[in-house]
Amino acid sequence: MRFLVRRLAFYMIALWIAVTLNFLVPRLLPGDPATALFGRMQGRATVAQLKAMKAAFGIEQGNLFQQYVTYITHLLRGSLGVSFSHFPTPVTTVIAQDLPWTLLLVGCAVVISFTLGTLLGIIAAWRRGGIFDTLVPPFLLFLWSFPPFWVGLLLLYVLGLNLGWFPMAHSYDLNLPLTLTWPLVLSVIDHAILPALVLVITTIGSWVLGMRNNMVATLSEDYITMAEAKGLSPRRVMLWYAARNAILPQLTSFAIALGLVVSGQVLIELVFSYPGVGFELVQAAFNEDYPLLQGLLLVIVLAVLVANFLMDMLYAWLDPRVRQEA
Amino acid sequence: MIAQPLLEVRDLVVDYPVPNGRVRAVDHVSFDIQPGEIVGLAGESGCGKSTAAHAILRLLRPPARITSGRILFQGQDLVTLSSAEMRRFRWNHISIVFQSAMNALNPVMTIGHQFGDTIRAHGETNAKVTRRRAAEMLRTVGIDPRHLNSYPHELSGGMRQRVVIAMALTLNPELIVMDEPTTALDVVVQRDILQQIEDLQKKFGFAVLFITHDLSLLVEFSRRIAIMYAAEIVEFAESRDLFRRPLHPYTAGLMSSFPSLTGPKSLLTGIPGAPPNLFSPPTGCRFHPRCRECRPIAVRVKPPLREIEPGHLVACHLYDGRPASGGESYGG
Amino acid sequence: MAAPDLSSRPPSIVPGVPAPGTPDSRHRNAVLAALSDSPAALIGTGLLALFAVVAVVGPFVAPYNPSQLMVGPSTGAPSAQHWLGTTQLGQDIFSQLLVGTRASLEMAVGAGLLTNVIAVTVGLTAGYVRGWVDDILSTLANVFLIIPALPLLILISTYAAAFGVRGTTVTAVVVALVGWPWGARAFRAQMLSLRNRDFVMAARVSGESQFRIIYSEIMPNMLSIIVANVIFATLAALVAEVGLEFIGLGDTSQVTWGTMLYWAQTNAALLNGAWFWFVPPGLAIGLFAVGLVLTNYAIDEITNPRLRTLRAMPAPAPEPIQPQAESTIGDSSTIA
Repeated sequence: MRFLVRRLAFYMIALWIAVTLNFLVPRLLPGDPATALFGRMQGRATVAQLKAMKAAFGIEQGNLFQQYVTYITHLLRGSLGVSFSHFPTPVTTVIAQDLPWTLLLVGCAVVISFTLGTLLGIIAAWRRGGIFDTLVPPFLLFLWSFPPFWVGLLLLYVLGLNLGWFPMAHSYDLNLPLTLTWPLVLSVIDHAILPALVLVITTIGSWVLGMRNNMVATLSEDYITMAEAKGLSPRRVMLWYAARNAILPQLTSFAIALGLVVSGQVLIELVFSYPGVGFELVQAAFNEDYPLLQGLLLVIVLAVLVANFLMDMLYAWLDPRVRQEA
Repeated sequence: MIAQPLLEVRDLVVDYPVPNGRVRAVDHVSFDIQPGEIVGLAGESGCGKSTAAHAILRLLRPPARITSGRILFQGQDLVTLSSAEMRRFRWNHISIVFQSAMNALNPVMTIGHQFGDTIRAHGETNAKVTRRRAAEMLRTVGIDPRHLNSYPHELSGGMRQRVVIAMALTLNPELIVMDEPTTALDVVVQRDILQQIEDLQKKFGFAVLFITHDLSLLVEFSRRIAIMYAAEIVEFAESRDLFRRPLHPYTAGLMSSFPSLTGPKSLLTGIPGAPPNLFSPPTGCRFHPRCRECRPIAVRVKPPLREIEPGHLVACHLYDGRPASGGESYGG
Repeated sequence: MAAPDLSSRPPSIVPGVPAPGTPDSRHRNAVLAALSDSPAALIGTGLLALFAVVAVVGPFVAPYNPSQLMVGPSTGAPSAQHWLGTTQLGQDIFSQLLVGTRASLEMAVGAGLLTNVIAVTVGLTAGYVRGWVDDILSTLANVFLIIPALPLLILISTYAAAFGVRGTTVTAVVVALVGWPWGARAFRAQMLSLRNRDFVMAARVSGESQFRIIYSEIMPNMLSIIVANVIFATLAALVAEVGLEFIGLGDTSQVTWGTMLYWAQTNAALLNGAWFWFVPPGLAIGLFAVGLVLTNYAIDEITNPRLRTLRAMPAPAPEPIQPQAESTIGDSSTIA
């Protein structure tokens, strides 16, 4: 369908802009990129390795355009360079180790937050003005006001340190071997609960409020009155007529919300020493590991775009008006 | 009127509370509809006719509420029914056709599903029977039953309106309320739809409450017409009588607001001024600020709706001298 | 596909009610009444006022120099001399909080305003000029919206640091460069709906220059949405800056809420049980955010009277109230 093709084209452009930004920013700042970024690697890497790394960064002989072409070519070949801080491990290997943990955490948190938040929003709108509606959305919004990583610190302090209910760092018990055994799975879940909880608590507020407001707006539509006039039960009207329509704007705002979740994720991984891409990103920044930094950003952007595209497909499935190019 | 009316609205009052008081959208409105009769309800936008229609089906959205009055359907007062009883009642006995069919249909559900919803909600569980009935209804209004699988946005405006009408007929109601069913359509399609409604009415025998601001539509269509102004009924008579001799100055003004194709050229006058603010309406007769024949008493005292001639009710002080004919008088 | 605009749909049809917003003293009093009526508005503006006061007088009333070492015990618990305790290096946390408020708020407000300047320019231009200019600007905005903000900020800040470009102004500028799309989209949408109004047509026909039309005719009609966006942008800027500072990419020599959290984290305040080190700054951030959100809500209520809660008045005595069981779906009151 033309809708999905257009979205795909947009994502290609977004990726291209992210890639180009990565290329341009070091060149827009005052100074020589080669010295600023690669200075510390002189003497630690062989000449050939250095040359390869600079090529992956686009810092080569030739004018700007030639450098750009080299840079893109390397990217398309899947080469993101070699990490400074994990020298000589290639960037792609480092990221491949971190990515699954992040996907696990973010995936679960987002799914729970979205589903639970949407349900709560529907309930709040159903009994609009009731106790649930008056108390819950403002309360959740209040939670949303505090920096997620700070809430993480707080929970870590109370539940982790003082009460000892949850482990305080890492994604699994490091004493256990990384093989698919039941104790490992339990350990993984145990370590993921607290960070996931923080993510859910701090993001659920906007889903609840969003869905509630969408529902309220949808409920004033004529087809809702018509549905009531037809003698349908309140539950059927709420779910199949109101919620089914109100959820559509919720999905479009998902795209933007995902960006916020990922940003929050970075700091939460830091607070919990959770070995995902966010944690790696902060370490890379601290260590001035530019190839790794750049590679992480590109991977994060790619992941977000893929998630968005999946959401677009879901939207097209749910909204028949979009399926044929209206 | 000797036979028991199908619908009898008595002294209906609908209020919207607002921070400093209330807006009375329907003020002691009374009228009746006989079985199989087409009654028109005409008036300017904001006069309360849609609100009255919604009130009959108890579809008012809070904070609007029925403050008092009775809505008697075949003798049973709908105002006192519980919500479960009302739900069973709706669509079975009274259904409604909305103004804009596009907005009245759920955009993410197929037409077939929306028919099925209704039929299932009123007891039918067999899927095949449901589908057959839906197809039958579509055929009645001249739409190919294959469209049961279509979504509302895939149909044209006229088709959608006919779908909505078909839906209204599904459970064979005794009364269909039509709230400006043709206003959103262009003139050619309007004619078609009206013809369709007339044919269906002759075939199935349901009564119609036809609400519109376009009096000209009601001319050949309805048997009796009620004119609403500022939340009140000001005149209620058979169409013929109303057109030959409108008694209320407002009705007369409405009549002279549209030209006739035949006959001598006449001056289009219209009605000066604007409809009143329902939050604080004028004292006495609500039309008095715009009335060319306003009597002094009209400023202070509200005229009751009285039967001045057989079958012709009007609320106007111009006829104070005349005795009420028949026993019909709706308090005010 | 835009979300349904709640402000354009009243909860029910209200025939005959006069249009609200008459420009006279009754209106002004209505504004004040609306403010004092709503607890949310009072709390919100109260909080903001409190923070404004602290920002201004903080540095003057702070009992100690926030950066001075060893004015108290190392990681001391709250006491009479140190209301919020001391850091690992013996600095007074309460003083840090007072002084840091000004720095954090300056940055946040500054970045918020800068973001809005960019957003207004881009949004109004794209919405008014349309055509390929609009296409490019919109695509650019959408791209920046979809790319997660913090990772991008981290990347840019780290590069900048490598080239020796640091400091709070840099942080503010970088945040603005990444944050403009939010407001730009809203302004563009508003511009699209306003540009076809009659008064704009009249201005165009009478020969006003494009520039004047945009800034003198259309923009004043967008005041409420601009104010809302300033609030939102300030909040977003604060969150972004705190995030960067927490990582250590801000100016760690300066005292701000974010750097306080950074030092607390690197000195393992948590593990040392020094809750008093990281709780106050976070609390400050949260309360400021709450103040902004509630104030935004209050402004919404004032500029859009239809969102105000319709409080039901009891019906006048003579009419007997009939038993009701109306449409059970939906009720009228809005969120508190």
